[in-house]
Amino acid sequence: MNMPILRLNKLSKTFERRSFWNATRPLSYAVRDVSLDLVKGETLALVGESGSGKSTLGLLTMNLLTASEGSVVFNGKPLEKAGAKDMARFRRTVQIVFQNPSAAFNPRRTVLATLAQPLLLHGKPSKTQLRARVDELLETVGLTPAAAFRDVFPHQLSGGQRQRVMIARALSVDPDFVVADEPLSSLDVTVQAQILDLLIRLQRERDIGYLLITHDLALVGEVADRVAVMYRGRVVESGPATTVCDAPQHPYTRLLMASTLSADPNERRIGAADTARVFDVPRDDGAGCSFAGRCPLAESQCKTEVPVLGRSGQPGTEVACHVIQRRDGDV
Amino acid sequence: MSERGQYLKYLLGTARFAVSRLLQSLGLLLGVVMVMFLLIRMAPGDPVQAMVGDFPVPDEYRDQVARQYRLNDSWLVQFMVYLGHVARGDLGYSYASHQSVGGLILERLPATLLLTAAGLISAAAMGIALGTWSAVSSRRSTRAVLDMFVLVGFSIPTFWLGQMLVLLFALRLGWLPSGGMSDARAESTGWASLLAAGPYLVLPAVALGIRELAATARIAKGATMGVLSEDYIVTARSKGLSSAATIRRHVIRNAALPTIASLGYRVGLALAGAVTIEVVFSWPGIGRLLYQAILARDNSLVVGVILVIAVLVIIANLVTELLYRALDPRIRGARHVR
Amino acid sequence: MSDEASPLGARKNRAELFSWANTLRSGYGLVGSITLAILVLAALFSPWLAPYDPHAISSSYLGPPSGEHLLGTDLVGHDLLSQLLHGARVTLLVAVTAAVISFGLGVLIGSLAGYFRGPVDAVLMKVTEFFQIIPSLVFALILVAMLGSHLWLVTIAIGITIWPQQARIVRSQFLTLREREFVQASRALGFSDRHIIFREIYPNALGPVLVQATLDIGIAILLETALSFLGLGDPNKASWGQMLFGAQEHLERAWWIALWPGVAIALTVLAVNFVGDALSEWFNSRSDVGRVSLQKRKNVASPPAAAPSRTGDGTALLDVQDLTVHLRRGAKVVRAVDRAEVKVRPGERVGLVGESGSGKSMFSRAVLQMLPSANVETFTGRIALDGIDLMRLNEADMRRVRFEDLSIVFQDAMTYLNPTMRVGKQITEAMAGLSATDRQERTRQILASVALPTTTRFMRRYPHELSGGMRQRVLIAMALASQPKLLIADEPTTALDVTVQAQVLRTLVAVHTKTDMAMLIITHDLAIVAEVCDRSFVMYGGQIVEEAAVSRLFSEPRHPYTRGLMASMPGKSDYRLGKRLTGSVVDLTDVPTGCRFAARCELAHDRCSTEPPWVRIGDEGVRCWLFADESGPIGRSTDKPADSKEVTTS
Repeated sequence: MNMPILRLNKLSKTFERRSFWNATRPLSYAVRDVSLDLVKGETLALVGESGSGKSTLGLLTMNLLTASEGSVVFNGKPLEKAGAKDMARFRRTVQIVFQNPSAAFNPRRTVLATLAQPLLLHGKPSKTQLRARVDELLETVGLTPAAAFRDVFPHQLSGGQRQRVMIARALSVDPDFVVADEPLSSLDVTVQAQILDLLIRLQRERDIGYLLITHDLALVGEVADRVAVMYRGRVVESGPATTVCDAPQHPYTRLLMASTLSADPNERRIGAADTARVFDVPRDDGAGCSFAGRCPLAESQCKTEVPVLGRSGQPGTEVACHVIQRRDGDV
Repeated sequence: MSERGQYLKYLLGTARFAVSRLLQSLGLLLGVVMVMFLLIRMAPGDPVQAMVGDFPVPDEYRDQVARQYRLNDSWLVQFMVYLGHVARGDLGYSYASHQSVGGLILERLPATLLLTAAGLISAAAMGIALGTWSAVSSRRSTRAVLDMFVLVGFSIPTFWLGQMLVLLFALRLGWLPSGGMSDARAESTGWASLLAAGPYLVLPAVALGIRELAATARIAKGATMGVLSEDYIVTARSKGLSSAATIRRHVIRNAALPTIASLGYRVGLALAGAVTIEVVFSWPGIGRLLYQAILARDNSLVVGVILVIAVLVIIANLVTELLYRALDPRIRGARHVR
Repeated sequence: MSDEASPLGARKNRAELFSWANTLRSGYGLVGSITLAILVLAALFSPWLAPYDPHAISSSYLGPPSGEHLLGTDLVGHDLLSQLLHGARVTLLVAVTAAVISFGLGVLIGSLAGYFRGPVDAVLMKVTEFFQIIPSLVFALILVAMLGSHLWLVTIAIGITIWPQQARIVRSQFLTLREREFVQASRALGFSDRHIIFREIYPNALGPVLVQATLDIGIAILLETALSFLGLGDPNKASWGQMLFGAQEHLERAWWIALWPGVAIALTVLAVNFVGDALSEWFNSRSDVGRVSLQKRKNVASPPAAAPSRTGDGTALLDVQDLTVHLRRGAKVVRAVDRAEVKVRPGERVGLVGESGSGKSMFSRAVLQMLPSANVETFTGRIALDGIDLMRLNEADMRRVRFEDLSIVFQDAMTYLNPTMRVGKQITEAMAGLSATDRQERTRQILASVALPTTTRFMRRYPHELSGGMRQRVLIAMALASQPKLLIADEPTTALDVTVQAQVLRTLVAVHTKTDMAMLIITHDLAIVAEVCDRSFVMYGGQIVEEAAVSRLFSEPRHPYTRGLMASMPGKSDYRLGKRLTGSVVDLTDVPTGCRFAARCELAHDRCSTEPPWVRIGDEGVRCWLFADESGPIGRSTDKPADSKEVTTS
């Protein structure tokens, strides 16, 4: 396996919610004690529901947010200790693709200007070189002929085309790693498939690593090498994508898998049964496993002691669950 | 938790909120006094001269006056002494009118409160009605007329409008008195005189209110238009509610929130407007008092009036915020479930 | 909306009364700029335009307007017209300079607060709060009174009392823009803060800042006027305000002294406000393009049918035939729905699948008769619910249908619930003709059926106190409150997490099995159709392109678009074959004359340049030339003879 490009080392992020109306409120944890290795050429899918902290983790990885605890380690050095030179290298190595392509562009700039800026920042190309580079980028992401797209403004493009330009912008600095935060979810179904194909092709051609942040488990099964499942700011299960998808261990992962819709009318998963259970998701007071309130396996230990990631019965996967760990430990 | 418990919790939260707001406001008031003191310090001219009047006096008398009012001390000492007095409810002594500042202000305050309350409340009520009506109206031209009225209202100098009203209704037509607050022959005093002030109140209140009417109408219109394009209005209509029911149950309350939120701010502006209006109409309020104090360089009175205006604005803001809290369940927020 | 019942004719007459206002409204910018231009020119050329030297003293003091002195003379005998023209210079200079000062201070302080945030922001916001507590007129008054009345001091005093509004605007622009993704992307690319502030934030914050700067000119004029009126203006500079000073005592004898300067001030400020208003309209229209507000539908011209004709084949609960909805968007026409045929039988669960821009949401709005009336260009066809043609009902009758027979569940429960109304009330208000206690009882039943708590405490909650899944179920409960015959669910689970989506879909299915209500589920997600529906329609480019039983649709999709859709679903076996659709959804403002899918279709051939017919195959159907021959001669394959005409008309 490749050496990790980035190491997320025990990252935590808290948001102090000081509201105007209530002077003090408890801290809210967005990310708690997450450690991950991000590797070139590999796709790590980060899965979770809204509010699980997966997007915050993406921003932390990009150093667009500063971690409250822990650090992002790049080149063996934590980023907070990195100098200007290291930082510039970090910016050229790691890039991000956002969910919403309509908000991701300065509306006053043409595609050419948008793509030219990072090229000018990280080098001094001549005017013709610049234009050639931009055309090349546009062609790489499938916007051909490039001449038709150079001089248009973002709002004149379709959603899929904008997403392609966004990918081109990320590629402009020739990164080794891309954080893709829900890159498909604002696109039409048929366009989603096109963009996904593009991302896969780029990975193959350029050996790019991805942190694919998504809520779509079907997608994970298709493209990810590894997967980390997040719940309430913590990673509760991680491992090879196929293993986790086929044999989920953590009760939350199982719930996720069971909730995924089948794409086959002959194998429906939504029956009329099981309507009695209402999720009035219990408040999380920080003590114990944050899934305990919803968990069918929960025991007394789960309410008092926070489970940490540890080996599970499945090879290569880790789970943070007292019950599973004990069961597999006994075997 | 029981309903009653919830309610108690809400009341407690509100009280805590009110106290913390008031404490924050104290800091601001301190700032206000400080700025005033600095300005007075920077002002050219001799306060002693202003105090003793425009005729030559013996130097001993000047010294005595300066000592009496601590005019030779540094401004910081004066400031601290002043704060001490204010904390005890003493706003100082007006040299020009030889009366205590507190007494002077208290005497004049009811008139200003009456004027601004009359102007602001009637303007706000009409403004909300006009704004809501024009937003709900399906005719574009209704809104266009309102927009026009609003801009005209924002463009006319308040005091000039007062002058024109006097010209027309008092001097030409003779329908209403041109100034003052009561008939000179009337005997009534204090709060009782307020009742007799009715006819005297009309013109200044109108002059003061036009701008506030325009402002409230604009905010109410914007808020209502905003609510009308909300998704829950679609829901209401898809439920089969009539237009009238939709407006009554779903539009008015939600549209009232931003309008109410703006009212506290408007109190300050209305008080500022009252300064010129009171001058135009010889209205015996604190606005005219401020004007006279400035002309007479009666500094302690100036600071006193400013302080009172600031307190009035702070109270108005607090009241609107409390009203807002009562009307918008979202910011009570005690029972949040994710 | 209050005039809903009034006949169209009377409304038109009343509207014409104010039509001049509409015309003026659209010309604010022009009128304001021309007025301002004239004013500036008059001020610049005042020495040549003024009939007299403004300081020249004529023999007639307090002279009324006359041929000699057009606007009259003042106390000393100055010609008022000449004074007014010269005063324009002073007033405009003071106002513009003060506005520039305010702009500079506002942008600087707003930027500092918005950029540094935290304690810097807190302190600076306290400073602006200070200016809110002491109104600008009062503060300017004190400043001038204490420091002196030179013109430049007055100008500065005005400038430093009116900046807080600008600062607040700049600050909020900073705070919103810096969270925007394009700014984040610039940071990720390694751009400096300077680049981000000057190249990304300022250009995009320009609109509101410019508008405020314009309005500040008007505010400054009014302040200068008020200061001068109180005798605190510069006595050596005859501004308009200065002209008003002293007019007070002569109001009775010489009204003209006070009138003209006031008119000049009001007109100037009005012109400034016109320009400001036009600017803000312009910036707003650029920033949110194509937002449509939903108001009532057009009044139906034909009288309400006294006895609604029973139409349709009797077996369908919802029978939509030949439904066409075209909407205006600017100068373009959006062909949102074209000749759609949809049938839903009682008790059925039917899907309507399409991507964004397929027209599926406008279809549901059309069925509810809730199209954005101002933008409707064409709205024809027949929509029969239980035999009653909804197109022919008047608003009151349609309201009753929505109240009793037809309900809809929308996508985003947070925005579709009234934030300030208790959820119980929102449910009960959708119920017809029950006593208060019966309503309570019925509400409990409905809450139970959607697996929500039935306690009074729950009913007294507000939407923001509930989780997303609970809110969506409240929306469903609301739709069920009237025991409708047909429930339309428009993207009912799109915004929800997978686990919650599964619960909500389960709830919908459970509710359906307990009643004989029919459901039309509108979605972009084929998986939802696979899980929940019996039959489904597929929509593309405003047209129904396929109708099939769900098992058939998934095992053997007919239309090339449906096949492409299947191949785009991760997890479907077709997905791995990698046969993707190219391009994106057809633009509804610019549809081709032939098959709307042809541009993306691998199997397109020359026949596709004419519009394909609706080919009926048993209970199912497809709109594609590929199937036109298989099922027999054209005459039989189209469901009605009119189809051959359709080809030529479109």
